[in-house]
Amino acid sequence: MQNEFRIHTVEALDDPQLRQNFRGAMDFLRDKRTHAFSDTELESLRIEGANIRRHVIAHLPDLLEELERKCLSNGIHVHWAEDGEQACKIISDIARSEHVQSLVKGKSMASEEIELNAHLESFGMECLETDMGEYIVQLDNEKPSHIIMPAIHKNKEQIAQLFADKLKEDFGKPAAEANVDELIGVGRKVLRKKFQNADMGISGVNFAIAETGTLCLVENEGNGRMSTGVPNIHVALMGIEKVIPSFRELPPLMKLLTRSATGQIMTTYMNMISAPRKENELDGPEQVHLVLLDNKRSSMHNDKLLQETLACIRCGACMNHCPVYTRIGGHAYGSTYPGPIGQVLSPQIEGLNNKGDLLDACSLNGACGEACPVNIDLPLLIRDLRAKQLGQKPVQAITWKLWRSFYRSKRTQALLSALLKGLSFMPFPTPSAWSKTRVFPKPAAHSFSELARKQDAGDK
Amino acid sequence: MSKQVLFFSTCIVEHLYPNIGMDALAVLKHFGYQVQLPKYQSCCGQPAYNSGAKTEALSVARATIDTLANSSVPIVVPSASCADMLIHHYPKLFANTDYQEKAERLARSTFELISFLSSDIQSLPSNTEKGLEPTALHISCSARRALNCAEHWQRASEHSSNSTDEPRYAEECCGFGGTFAVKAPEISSVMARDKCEQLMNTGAQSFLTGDCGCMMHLNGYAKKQAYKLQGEHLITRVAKQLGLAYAK
Repeated sequence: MQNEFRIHTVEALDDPQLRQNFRGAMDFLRDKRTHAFSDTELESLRIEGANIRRHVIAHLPDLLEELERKCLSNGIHVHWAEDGEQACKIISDIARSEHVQSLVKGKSMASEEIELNAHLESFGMECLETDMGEYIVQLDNEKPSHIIMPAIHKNKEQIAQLFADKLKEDFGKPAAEANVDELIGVGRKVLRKKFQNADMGISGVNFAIAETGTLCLVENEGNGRMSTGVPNIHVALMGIEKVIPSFRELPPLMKLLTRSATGQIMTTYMNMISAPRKENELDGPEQVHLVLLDNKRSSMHNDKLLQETLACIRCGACMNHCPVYTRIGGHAYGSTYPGPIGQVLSPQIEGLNNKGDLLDACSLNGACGEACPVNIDLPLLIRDLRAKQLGQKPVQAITWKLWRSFYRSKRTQALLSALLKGLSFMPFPTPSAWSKTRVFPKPAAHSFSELARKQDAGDK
Repeated sequence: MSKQVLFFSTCIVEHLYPNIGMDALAVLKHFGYQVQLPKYQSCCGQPAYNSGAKTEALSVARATIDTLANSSVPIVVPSASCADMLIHHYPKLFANTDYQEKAERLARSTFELISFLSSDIQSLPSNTEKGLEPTALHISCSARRALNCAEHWQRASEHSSNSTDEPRYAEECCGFGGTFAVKAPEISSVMARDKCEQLMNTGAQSFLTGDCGCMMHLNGYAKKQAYKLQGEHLITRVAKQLGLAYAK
């Protein structure tokens, strides 16, 4: 059966340029991460980070209430959204009541998850991505292919060509002649104009500190600071799991996040937003809104094992280390979150019936779990979701029942041996999914047990 | 009293690669072990467990525990991924059940074959035969990540073959992954191709491993593509070195 995901997979595998772009990028990111951690620090940090995230999961409702209280007393408006639709409506209601025409956005995967851009554009508002990678994919009508590096599927030449095609006014030379700095310069020039005129800025949140009501945001381009500081209204959107108790928990998590994500000791910019502009302050937005997005996170929280999903700090290390992601790239997954964490998140957010097929693309090799900075046992979660999915796959379910019937006792095992022995004299029926590219070994004419018994008898 | 072990052949060795089992018996005996075989050879249940068929995995795992747990001697397993199943996953699967204690005891007494024999293999004179073909080593993901026995395989390989440098992307999966190979055959095949190419890039025409699943997958791919690459179990190589290999 060919599902949509498998079709996209085949297309991706047939694109040598794409595979080369990903392989190169993943090699680069893996090396940078390795250099950023000295081994001992990684292990102790990872345990510390893992414990913090488990503490958050265990106290999530209380922490969220504390965050809300603090934000409100700081003058930040707080909104709760049960799903993506509600979150979109909350944000467009704010924008419409303030007559917003143009918006600038910092990078936010939560906003991708709820498809915020399309929603705001349906009201005729311009919603511009200002992270360079996000800007590139938006310019090409694409979606991010990586949660940290949205345009990682493109190489320099492809980006130069895109700019030459779409930004003719600002890009006055043939694509082949542009270097990386020039390309960034072009993007910066275009974006700078937009920042000055935007009515509203939208951002994500990396961590929200409950004790002080502070929203933390890391970035490297300054676009996050521009998006949250220049327009008169700032709306921050965060998944409810991003809350942490206090500033004490921030340093270890930040260390893990930036080192795992980009191999940086710290990012160029680190924003902490605790309130709107105060009296006597010269700049900053007059309104700050925080939208707390559930979108199935509460159901994850209700499952004793799958609540582990909520420990994720969205660093992308699992995809950088995944041999499947490295080969097919992010778009093939057809979901907001690709790679191992995407295989765990997407079926839970969008439903097993919609995204369950993603679970097939995992060999359970364990590279993701090994790379995860907060020790999420991703292979275990994938197994668990496969178990939940099996209920929807009657043919597979029956196959496993049959399989069990052979291995349950000495007698049935003998039957299997006899059956396989019979098959050793004729072409062995192997599914074409295997035999198209691989030879399957013939069952042995004599099983190991038989040979061993025979030898034993001979010895005596 | 002589040293005793219980040999759990695994389903792949039982039905597809009985020679590997025979080589293991010969090498174990050579090193002075008295080898017991369980009442019957079964499957560890990993294919079902990894595919989400938890009930079926549990019932087969229960049968496996029944055939293995009566013995008080070490259990040795000729595939790292099956050993991992017994050592790490059984205790989780049977937590809070009537089999919890048995599963934990079994886990404690189970060993991956090559690591189990590591010091015995080191006690052999190094294979310094002249004109020995260069041989690569494939350390499986289970051996590397789950069981932490990469070093034992490396030492065994260096000791009994003319081993090449580590292939590039050595830590990357060969694309087998049990049912993954048939559920996502396109990705799996590309991973197999890349792994074969990296192994051949070392200059070797053969490779050693201690995981029968990877070996079956890579050999199957190499054969279909008519690559000059053939994988062999580490224990077979040791058996050859001792002149004890079952297949002459």
